[in-house]
Amino acid sequence: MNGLKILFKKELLEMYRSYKWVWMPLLFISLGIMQPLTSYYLADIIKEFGGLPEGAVFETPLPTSQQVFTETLGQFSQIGTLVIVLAAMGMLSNERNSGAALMILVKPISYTGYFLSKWLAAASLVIVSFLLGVSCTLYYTTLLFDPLPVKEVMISSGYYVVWLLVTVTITLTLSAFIKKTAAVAGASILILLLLAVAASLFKEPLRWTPGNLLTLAQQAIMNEPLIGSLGTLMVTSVFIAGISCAGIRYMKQGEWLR
Amino acid sequence: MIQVEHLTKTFGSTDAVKDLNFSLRPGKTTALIGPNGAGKTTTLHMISGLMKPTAGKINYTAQKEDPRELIGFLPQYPAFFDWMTAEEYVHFAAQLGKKTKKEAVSLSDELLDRVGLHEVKKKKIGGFSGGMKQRLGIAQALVHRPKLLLLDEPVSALDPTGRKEVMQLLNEIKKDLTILYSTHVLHDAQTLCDDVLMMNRGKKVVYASLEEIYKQYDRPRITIKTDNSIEPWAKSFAANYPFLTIEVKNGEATISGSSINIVRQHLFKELSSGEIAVRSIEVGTSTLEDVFHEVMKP
Repeated sequence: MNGLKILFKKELLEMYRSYKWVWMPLLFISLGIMQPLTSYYLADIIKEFGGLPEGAVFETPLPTSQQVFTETLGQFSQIGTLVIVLAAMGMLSNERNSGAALMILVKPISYTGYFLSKWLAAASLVIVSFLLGVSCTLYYTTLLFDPLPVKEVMISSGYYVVWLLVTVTITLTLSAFIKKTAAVAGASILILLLLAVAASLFKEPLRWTPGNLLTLAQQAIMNEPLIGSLGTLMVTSVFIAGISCAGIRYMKQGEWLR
Repeated sequence: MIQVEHLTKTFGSTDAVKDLNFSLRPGKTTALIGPNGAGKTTTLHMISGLMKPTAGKINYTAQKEDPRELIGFLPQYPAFFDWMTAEEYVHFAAQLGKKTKKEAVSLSDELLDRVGLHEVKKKKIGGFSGGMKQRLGIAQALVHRPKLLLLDEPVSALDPTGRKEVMQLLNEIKKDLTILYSTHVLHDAQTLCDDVLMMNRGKKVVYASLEEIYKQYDRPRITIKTDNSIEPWAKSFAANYPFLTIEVKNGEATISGSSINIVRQHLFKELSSGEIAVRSIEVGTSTLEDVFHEVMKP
């Protein structure tokens, strides 16, 4: 892992200079604020913009704070995932295409360190952004609804963070395999979608796949029993390690720099 | 410095480099010359460790766990991070080359000074010209104090000013290092290198020191250029000295004979009469360019 620390610092600096450290947290924060607010003011919003006929009676029951939290995670999964993929898609392929990777890899550093530095940097950015977003949700949920149980929130967020790591790993690995950055984004989103949808459609056979993490995060906040959580975490760890290794091997073996 | 044995690289069904053998003399500068597609870049990439050879091996004399520590490399199109300053990049390169933070600071300062980028070291690389980038490339290649410097076409993409600057820089640093650099610009190779390695279609064609090449390809002939028309004089010269041959082409006369001494003796006697206005006299012929064309003939 030679050079990991220096490369990691460089990645953080690059993210800082390209304002990723500004807009990514801001995006998660705004998603985290918007969801509780829209849930709370839904009745008013519909009254204001819904164009309901005069005298229509429209009752919207106030959701529970758990429901609000789940809905926020849903927002993170949709818009958040897209943004994470867009932010991470070029991390390897851009440097490979420009030739900057060649200038780095000719120094005495390991390919593993090179890959890992990017993984760590992307993971820190995503996790920090997520935590900021979740904090905002917690604040507004407590303000507008009921306070959320701390333990459940932490467990639920834990599962969600692992899912975010899956997102980062898939995008980075594909960035190592594919030269065209747009193709990296397309393929990553497709695979992530497949993982999530397949796990919710075929609950039983795909119980331990990474896609199940989203279900687990929901179940955790609802305080439902978490079936197969250990299996999912183990399979996911192997999955993350496995595809990262595949990416690193591909960089080392083939004519990656040509 | 390094020994290359039976080095071969195959892409698909084509051999980019085939059974290449040579060893670089320590402290000498070697020019790697060949037409496009000769395998120069592939060879440099293999020596630098960026590419694994299909067959054969490269022995590095100095024992280091990772030979890349000993090597400084400048690719043909160096790509930096535009958002970094020159100082930051050289600093970064030094640390990647296993220098401590403290060493990195003093080394990058020294090198930026040496390549003449001291004034712009706080500027973003994104605004640099081609020549500045090339000099920055040399700085980042040298900053971890390598023993072997590999340069891929260091001057090909530069304008005459940039080329001169880079050549001057290389001339200054060549005494402390072993340098292997590929080039198209044969004139530059001639002024800078000690040894010449010529490749064609992945194979070694010539590998010798510059003097040996000159000796081997030297021809006993002298070429003169004049201000006024040369033909009438050439005619009378041919009549006076039947044992010398004289050829006139494009206002240049090339006189050749059995030995350079004979040609020199008679020609200079003739020229001293002052009949023609000589502009230049060139003794012998072998510029590297002539040798190049001669050995690259299919």
